[in-house]
Amino acid sequence: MTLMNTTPDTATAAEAGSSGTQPSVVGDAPRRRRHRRGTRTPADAAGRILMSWPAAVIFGAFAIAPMAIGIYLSLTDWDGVNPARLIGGDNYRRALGPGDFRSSLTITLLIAVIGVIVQNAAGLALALALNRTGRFAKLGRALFFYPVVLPAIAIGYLWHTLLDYHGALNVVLTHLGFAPLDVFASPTLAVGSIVLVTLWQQVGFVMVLYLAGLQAVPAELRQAAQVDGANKWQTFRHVVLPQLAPSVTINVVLGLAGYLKLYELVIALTNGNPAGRTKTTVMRIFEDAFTNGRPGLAAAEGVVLAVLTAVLSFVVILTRRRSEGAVQ
Amino acid sequence: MTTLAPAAGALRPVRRRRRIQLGSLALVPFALLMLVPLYLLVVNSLKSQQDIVGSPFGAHHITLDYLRSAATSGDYNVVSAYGVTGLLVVLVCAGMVLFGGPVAYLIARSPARRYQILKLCFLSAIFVPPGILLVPIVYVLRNLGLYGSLPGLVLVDLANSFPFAVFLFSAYIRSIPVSLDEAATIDGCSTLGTFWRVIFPLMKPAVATAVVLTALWTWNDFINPSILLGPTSSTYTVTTGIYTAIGQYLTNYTVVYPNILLTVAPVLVLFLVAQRYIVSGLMEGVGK
Repeated sequence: MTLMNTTPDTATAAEAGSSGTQPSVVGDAPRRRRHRRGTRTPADAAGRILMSWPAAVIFGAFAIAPMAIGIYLSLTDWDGVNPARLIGGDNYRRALGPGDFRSSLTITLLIAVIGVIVQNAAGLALALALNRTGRFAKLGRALFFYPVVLPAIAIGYLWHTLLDYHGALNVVLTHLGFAPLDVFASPTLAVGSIVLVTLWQQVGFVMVLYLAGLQAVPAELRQAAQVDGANKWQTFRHVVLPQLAPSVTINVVLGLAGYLKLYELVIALTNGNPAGRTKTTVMRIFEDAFTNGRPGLAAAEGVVLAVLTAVLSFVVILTRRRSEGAVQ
Repeated sequence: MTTLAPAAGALRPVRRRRRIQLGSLALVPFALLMLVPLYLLVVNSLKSQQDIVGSPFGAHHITLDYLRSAATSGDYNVVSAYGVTGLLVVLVCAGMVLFGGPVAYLIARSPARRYQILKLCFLSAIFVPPGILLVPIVYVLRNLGLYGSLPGLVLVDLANSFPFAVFLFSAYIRSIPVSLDEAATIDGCSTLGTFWRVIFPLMKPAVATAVVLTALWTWNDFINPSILLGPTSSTYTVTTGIYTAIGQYLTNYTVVYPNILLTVAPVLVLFLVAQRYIVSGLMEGVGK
């Protein structure tokens, strides 16, 4: 579990999640009785209300209620000013019909699929290379991880200036005798730049999850394979990789969910250019809500995206279940 | 065994050292690729437009002028946004610990059905990306008269922080022996008192992880402040500040680079200081 820094403190913090095996109050009859006695006093009941209500009310008002309201608004013609009127499924028909929203879904899904594949290949390779002790490996892990913590909008602007026509990339290219690239004028290169920059920012996170998975592979399994005469590639392919199945699943699910809500990085990097060809779904939703004055339609588009994210996650988890079965 | 041991011990270090060198060598170009953008950011924050365009990699004619003028600029200046963003971070983190801690304790320790339903509510939110809910959240905030204000943003960010915090805290509390709670109850402590006096002081690692990660997310977040503070707001955070400051002037590199550097500098410092909390916390949040 300890990755960047090996200190006892990290170990306790990290173990906390897994070591929930201690006897709990639940199902422990004598203890529960004693606990119950405490709740009978009115002062204690008031204390419990004080403990649970603030979080429950705030969460209810700003997280649970908006889910229900979002579904309601998606069935109305709300324009942000006048009272909302129910119009049935019109917004959904409009969102799912051919048009800007559907093309934004296509481009976002394309970026997501390419991005997730590249990210996982690179993250797994890095994890395998850096899964060792020592100062250099530690430094390497920090080096690949640091962009994860930076604000996406700043990263988008930074890479925009680097890949811009007058940026550092073209200085290098002309120096080497190549023709300069106009990255943000070509749809293919613009999509490529989004994949590259999200890879640069996220690969450290993917790597860390694979490192955790690698550390959970029992050493005896590897040794047994080696004793049986397996070479390095065979050991990886038939022993280590199957053990990493849960890590693959979690990385694919998180990666897809992350790509489907891609927003500010693209705002800063390509701003949807050229000609709206890299406009992501969330950009489209906010445009409909706040620029085009159609928040009702935007709410429907939000529901579509939420459902799509959930369905994709479930499909991945279900299809991965078989590979994961090998681990147990 | 005794005769073999020294030989094995003498052989192993040699082999291992060679393997490390080969592995590291293959990684060097990629490691450089990770560092080059950061190097260009720092070095070009200190140069004139002509020098940046002419030789982006060079480090001649270094000056602090552009950084200073970005830091003291009158409109949408990132450094003055440190204050607002810092206040936002402090309020969200304080609320998260103050309200999220006790709820997590009840969820971890009490079998009562209402707390288990509450737990399911928190968990369900993990599957809905918060950005998608912004349209209805704007609707809620408008009706409460909180749209376009900092308190509205704090409340929404706070609500977003609960699922992760409650998950982390209740997992940690479950690892603390119940006998401590019982001893406190016998000594006359109420549930509230037991949590704050006995359990909370033991939760330091979990609280540190939750605070560091929530601070990071709140500081870096662009979507919530850009929409909930409203288009006409004069309040701006670090990320909405940089958006307004350089969004239109992307070719004026002497404005762009220093502003980006001022935006990422505090986060980089936090990363260097609190790396282990960030990494182990992120992994725990994923649920292993």
